[in-house]
Amino acid sequence: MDYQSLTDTAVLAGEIMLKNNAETYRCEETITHMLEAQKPGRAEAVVLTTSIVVTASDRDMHPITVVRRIKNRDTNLNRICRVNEISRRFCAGALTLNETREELMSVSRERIYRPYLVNLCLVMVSIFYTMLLGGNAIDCLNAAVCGVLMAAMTYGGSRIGLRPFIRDFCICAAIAVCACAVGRFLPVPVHLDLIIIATMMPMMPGVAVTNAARDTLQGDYMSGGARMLEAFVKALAIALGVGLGLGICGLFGWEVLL
Amino acid sequence: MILQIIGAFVSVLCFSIILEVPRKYLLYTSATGSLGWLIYLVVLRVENSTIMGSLISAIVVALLSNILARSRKAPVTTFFVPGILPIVPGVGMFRVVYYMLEKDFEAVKSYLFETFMIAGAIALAIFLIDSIFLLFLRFDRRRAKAGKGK
Repeated sequence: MDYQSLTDTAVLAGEIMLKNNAETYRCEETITHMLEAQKPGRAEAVVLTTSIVVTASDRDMHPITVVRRIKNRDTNLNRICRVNEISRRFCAGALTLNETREELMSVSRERIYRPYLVNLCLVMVSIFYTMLLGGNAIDCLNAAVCGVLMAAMTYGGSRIGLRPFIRDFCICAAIAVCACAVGRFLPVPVHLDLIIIATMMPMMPGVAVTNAARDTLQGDYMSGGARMLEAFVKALAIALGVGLGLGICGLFGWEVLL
Repeated sequence: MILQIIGAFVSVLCFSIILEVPRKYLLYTSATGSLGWLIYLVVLRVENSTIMGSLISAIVVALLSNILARSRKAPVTTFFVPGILPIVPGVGMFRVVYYMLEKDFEAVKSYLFETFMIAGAIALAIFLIDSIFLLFLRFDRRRAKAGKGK
């Protein structure tokens, strides 16, 4: 048994999961299951929100240790699903080590939806979330304009490699100003609050809150706490951005009525 | 109200695409999300409490996503994260910022409280439902082991 490549493969699986915002305990479980399926003497995995440490050892060999540092994370549920499925098949013995490795490599770059569809969906979320909150047709129209701005800024921000905090802050400020400006030119009064809320929704830290709760429940307080902080910081960026945007509208003398 | 449910369905569908939910699960996530929002609206009409509405609807969403995850053999997150989108307390957060600028600190206090309570309600729902399912899982495993022993 080639323990070196086994450990590398297991860590690769964990790395893909963590990079795509899976819960930390799930990464730990996946790595441990994959190692234990081949029965080395002892296998331990420690996963934190930003790093992975894995050690495998047996009686007649030196322990192998692999450390990975995860720098940036983004949510991609498809990849989490796929890695989960591959590790299941590997543990059941349906895949060899090399096949598993190749499959994992292809999953790590896999995208199932084209970029234009994702951008279109960012706009659609703004429109239909306004509808969900009970806005009328004119509100949806205004939200569509803000949604286009938001999608364009998200795209631009990721192109020039802005930090998520600054990016969310700028986007929220821009959509608040945009909603007010468009609202002024429309002949009928609009529900500005609904429009701004709907447009900022894709940036809300829903994933972070969910992961924080689930990690804490599993007894992983360190990762749970880190995720909670992440959720707070994200919410803070949005709140500050919207605050700045509304403040600018106030300076121009545009009334913000709820 | 029907329009709002349709809005929930489509927005959860689009949000699922942004998060790259596999194609075969898209219908499940949108159905879960819109059902959650329907329950929220119903509870809101009966009880007139956003916190209670969020709690009950989050419990239903968590329950559904656990059942779906069990039967489709996919991680629970795949169904839960998009499904919870309508309940994420964006409204409360916006109101906090708005009243902060208006210097109405009583309103800030009450909306801040509401926002935290809704986030807490979502966490509580996950705790509750996941614990129950973990219990089932352990029970299943023990039974499987006992079966093999015989």
